[in-house]
Amino acid sequence: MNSDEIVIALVGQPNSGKSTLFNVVSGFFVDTGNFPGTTIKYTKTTVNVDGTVISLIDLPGIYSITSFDPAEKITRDFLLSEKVDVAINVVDTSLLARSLELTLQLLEMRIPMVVALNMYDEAEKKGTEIDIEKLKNLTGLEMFPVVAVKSLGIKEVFRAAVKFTQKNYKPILPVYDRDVEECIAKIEEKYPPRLKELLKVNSRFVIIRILEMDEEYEKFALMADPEFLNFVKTMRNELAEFHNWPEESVFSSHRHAIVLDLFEKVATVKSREKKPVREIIDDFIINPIGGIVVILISLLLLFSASFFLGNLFSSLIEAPLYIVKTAVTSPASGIIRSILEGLFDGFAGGFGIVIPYLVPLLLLFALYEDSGLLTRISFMVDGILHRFGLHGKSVLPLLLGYGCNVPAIMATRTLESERDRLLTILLAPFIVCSARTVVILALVGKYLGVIAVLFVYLLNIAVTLVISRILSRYRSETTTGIIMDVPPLRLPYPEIVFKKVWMKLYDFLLFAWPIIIISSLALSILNYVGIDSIINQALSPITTFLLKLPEEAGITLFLGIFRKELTLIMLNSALHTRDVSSILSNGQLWVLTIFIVFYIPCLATITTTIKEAGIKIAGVSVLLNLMVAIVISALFAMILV
Amino acid sequence: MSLEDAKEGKILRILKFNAGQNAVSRMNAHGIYEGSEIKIIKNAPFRGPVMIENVKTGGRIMIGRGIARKIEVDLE
Repeated sequence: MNSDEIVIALVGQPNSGKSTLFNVVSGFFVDTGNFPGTTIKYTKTTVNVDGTVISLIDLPGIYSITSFDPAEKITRDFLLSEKVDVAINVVDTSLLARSLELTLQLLEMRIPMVVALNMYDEAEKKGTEIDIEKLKNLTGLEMFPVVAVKSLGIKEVFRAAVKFTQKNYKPILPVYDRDVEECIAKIEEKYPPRLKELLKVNSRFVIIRILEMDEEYEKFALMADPEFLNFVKTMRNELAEFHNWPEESVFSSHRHAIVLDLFEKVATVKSREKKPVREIIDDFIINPIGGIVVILISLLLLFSASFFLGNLFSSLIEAPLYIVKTAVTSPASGIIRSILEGLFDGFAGGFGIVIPYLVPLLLLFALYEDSGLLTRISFMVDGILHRFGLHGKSVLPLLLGYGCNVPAIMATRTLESERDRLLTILLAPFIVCSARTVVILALVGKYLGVIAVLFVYLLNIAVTLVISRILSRYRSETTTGIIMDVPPLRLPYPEIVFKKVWMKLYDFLLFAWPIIIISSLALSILNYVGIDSIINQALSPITTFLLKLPEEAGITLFLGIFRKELTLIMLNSALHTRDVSSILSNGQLWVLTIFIVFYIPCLATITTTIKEAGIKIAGVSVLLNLMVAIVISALFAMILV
Repeated sequence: MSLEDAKEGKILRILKFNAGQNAVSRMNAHGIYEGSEIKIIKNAPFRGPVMIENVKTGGRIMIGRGIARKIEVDLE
């Protein structure tokens, strides 16, 4: 980071519109990265405000700094480090009473900050009127009404952040009940100087954190002076007993009371005469019958968009791509030609197969997500998914898998619990991605009919659920119960939706596409060198004995690990025919398709799994898929061939 | 009475959390505390989550059935 740049961090609760604000001000190319040693992501961009260059960081959304969530700890440490010049606290004004809890905690951290009262229009719609001047006076913070989706008030916030000076900053810290304040004062007297050296954070904040059972700060206190820690613990215990509250929430309950009091001072809530339309729609969606109808329509739309639009686009670009390919590769010969072909196939595969299927999916997902429909779908299906050991929030990543497994695995980041995340990562490769859809349509669809295609999908879903059930038994702890915000239904803003789709696509282009190209290149070279017969022989116990397929299928399946959709093309060349049914019986077609649907995830998926969950989980994932594929297709081979 | 058995449309007060520390702090983070006044919006089908609204803050959240079972509520 440049020293003359101002670093501004966006911090706020999930669904506060923090990322929307970020998207509105950012350009098309943003940096994303993980905090060192974690899977917690941040996004960074450069913004120019009246000639001042700002490095803007979008921190993960956090509800508070009280719980034991790793994202909260990282956000806290990042804000307390000297890397941030000013923080912009993005607040959902329509949920002001809840959002202020985080604002007060940030205030207690005494970091330089200004507040963006986002979704100001929604608060007005809800009938909540806020006396901003009063709120500013009571907190000592600069605040601005903002409607991020309409770009209203953003300039003002950023200008205030740029002009922020410590000199004029007089934050008014929340004052707790007398007994709590006395307790803090008594602890303050004994605050060890050594702890001040260890933690360069104001002592009041540290004391409050320890009173809220912050494990990390407790460790620092223990290091500085074990007696001091014991003293704080005794005080904490007394406080909890006195108020008859559980120890871990005695402090947050106090803060909650302060927030409610503050809210009542600044807000007037008018009751509305009639129910707004969106609530009437909402009532319909969360009704069992309405809900099932809406879910079915959403799913139908999702699949048909992916199938029809995907097929349409990929067939449209097929011919031009072929012309370009011959133009590029025909002048060359020998290994050079193979290399060129490999590179081109990889490029075309990403462009012509994955993207046409992925874009409609991403677009619909962004719409479902931004409108609040996805939350309602999670609400409706959580009960069913729970039976299979899954979490309602797993719906999004798993459905995204029908486009491509890579973004599906990336999307598991939204799952808070490690157990749910790993389970979803292991299940994602079972979902039939667009590359495998191509194979299913071309083998089963072409030779065995539409009903057969449907059967393959249903079989796949059934198997995935059974595996989920088994895996969740294996991980003994049960899935953490869902606790999730239900934001009101909203009309998505096209700009924000497109930005969102672009960001996800950008992730894919940057990471998965190069791997597809490299795999394709490797494939082409292996083909040129001619190792097929060795591999065919090595794999024959599986291919010919268990699956009862021709030995030549071995190389296709092996190379299919690099690129799933290419199994088809390679099958044609390995069997020396374009009409596969002339060589394979119907039974063999079934076996082959089912094997391709379930076996080893493609290289791009494996690499993503390694990146997101480590090499061990990636290994488990590969073995699991292989095992399931062999067992199921061997069963089919026994019955049908 | 537990939140699980509460009827849709009723306004209730949360008396006690019998859930684990993790669940309690997550509920606190979503603005739900012992003593909070809540409205039951919907019980999801297939023994799914319960959707509630915090009467004071106006925020809606869903709570998984397993956790809802461990929340003691009473009529206002």
